[in-house]
Amino acid sequence: MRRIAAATAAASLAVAAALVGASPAAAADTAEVYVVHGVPGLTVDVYVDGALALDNFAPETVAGPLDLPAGSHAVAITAADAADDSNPVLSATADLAAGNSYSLVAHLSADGSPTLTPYANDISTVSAGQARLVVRHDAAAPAVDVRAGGAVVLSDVTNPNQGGLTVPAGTVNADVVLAGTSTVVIGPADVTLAEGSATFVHAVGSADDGTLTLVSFVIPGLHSAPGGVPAGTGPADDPAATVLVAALLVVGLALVVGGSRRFVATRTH
Amino acid sequence: MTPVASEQGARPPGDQRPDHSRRRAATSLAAGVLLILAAGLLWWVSRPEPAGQTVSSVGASGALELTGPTSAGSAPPVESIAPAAPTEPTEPTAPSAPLSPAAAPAAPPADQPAPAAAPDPVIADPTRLQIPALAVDAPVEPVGVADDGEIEVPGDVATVGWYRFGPAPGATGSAVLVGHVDDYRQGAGVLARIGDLNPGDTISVAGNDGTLRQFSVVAREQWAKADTPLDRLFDRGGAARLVLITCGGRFDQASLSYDDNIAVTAVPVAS
Repeated sequence: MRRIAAATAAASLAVAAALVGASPAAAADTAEVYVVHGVPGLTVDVYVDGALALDNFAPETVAGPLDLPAGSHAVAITAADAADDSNPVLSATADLAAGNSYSLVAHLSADGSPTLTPYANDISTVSAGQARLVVRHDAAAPAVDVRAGGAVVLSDVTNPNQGGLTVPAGTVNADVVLAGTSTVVIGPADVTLAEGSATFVHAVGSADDGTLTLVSFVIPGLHSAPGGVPAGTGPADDPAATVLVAALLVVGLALVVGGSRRFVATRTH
Repeated sequence: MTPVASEQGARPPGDQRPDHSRRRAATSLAAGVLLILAAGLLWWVSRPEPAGQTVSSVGASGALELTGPTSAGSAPPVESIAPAAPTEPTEPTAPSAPLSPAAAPAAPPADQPAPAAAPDPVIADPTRLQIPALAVDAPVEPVGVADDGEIEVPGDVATVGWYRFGPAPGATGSAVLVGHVDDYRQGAGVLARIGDLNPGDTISVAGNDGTLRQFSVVAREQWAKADTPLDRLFDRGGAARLVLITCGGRFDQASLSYDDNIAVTAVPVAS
């Protein structure tokens, strides 16, 4: 039964992709959707418009991107052994605009009840040498600050909000603290941010249950070319010629000055 | 005429040879003026020429064709992410639908069918550039982006920079090597004469581990800097190619910079 359902779902989505054209990545009429599972201890199935899209989706993992036609889609999350989506644990309607990227995050609300939150993924290009970091608060926990290298880079982020910034590509040492304090709730960890990519980090789990953790994925290919190639500052003087010119000038000036003085002196007679 | 008066006071009264003295003074003056003129002439003659070249473009359309399909604007490819499900792979039936959700993360981008031969080496860590036609044999170091957003260019004009955020030489896309055409303290740079390269000339890149890759020049192009197609030169898709970039055209004394960029594009030689 599951076998057939999975095959059918995949086939129908594949047909949808085929209908909108064969060009790679998100074609003009589709949107990409990442699905993030942030509810601890619960393996689920994910249905899109009644068809099984993700089977046995494990907690604290990411799936996707699903390439879905633009428009409105019914998303249902069921227990992993459900026969269909008639009795979902969570459900939502996803309104997808063509060419955009989304995250659909199943997570705990601030008070610990499961919920489903859609986010738009910022996939605009970043400047050459830069990387984007987006942090989402999807945990049953109070407001937090995100620190990088000991400095607060995102402050007072609350469930289910997100904050983002663009930083020079490289590795940063990051941690999550209770807002306005130095009380570390997640991390610290070295996070490598690849040039020209966006890293989406989701804080999930429950502070009370001690299940706080991070689930992340990376969207590459957001790079830009450098702004220019400044490869020349002009010719260098020949040092020998410079010395010779200076010597000639000094001697010449001395002769002129000396001569002038003498000449003036003789004229007084 | 007070100074003259004082000087007169210092002079022995009744100098008998004013003419002689005057002649010597005139000679000294004339010699001084001549020396100053000579200095000016020498400065003019020895004035260094900017090394930047002005060259005709060849092979530009061929270089354009090496570019990947839309490098700007379209949605990016996606890095592999462990898909939790579905566990059932779809039937491998629809080659026209490469983006079936089940297969998307795992499917490599559809490429031209690769020949069965061993893959040509990618110089992941380029350390040396050789251009026999120009007698160039220069060290290569990785470079990134300067604070102003332009590419870093090695301060030493004898060293070539490899844009480390872009492809490695031999890999898919445009591997960029840059070098100063000249520097006002150091003189002409190692890439100063790349405008002399012609289609068919050989360029070699060596890696830290001794691997060597040969490229054959296909294009030489020059643009005013505002028109330099940076997105194409720094393209991360399309055919594997090597792009050497330096400056050229008119040198602007006021800004100490050149008006143009010169780029040479080369493609891998099957080994």
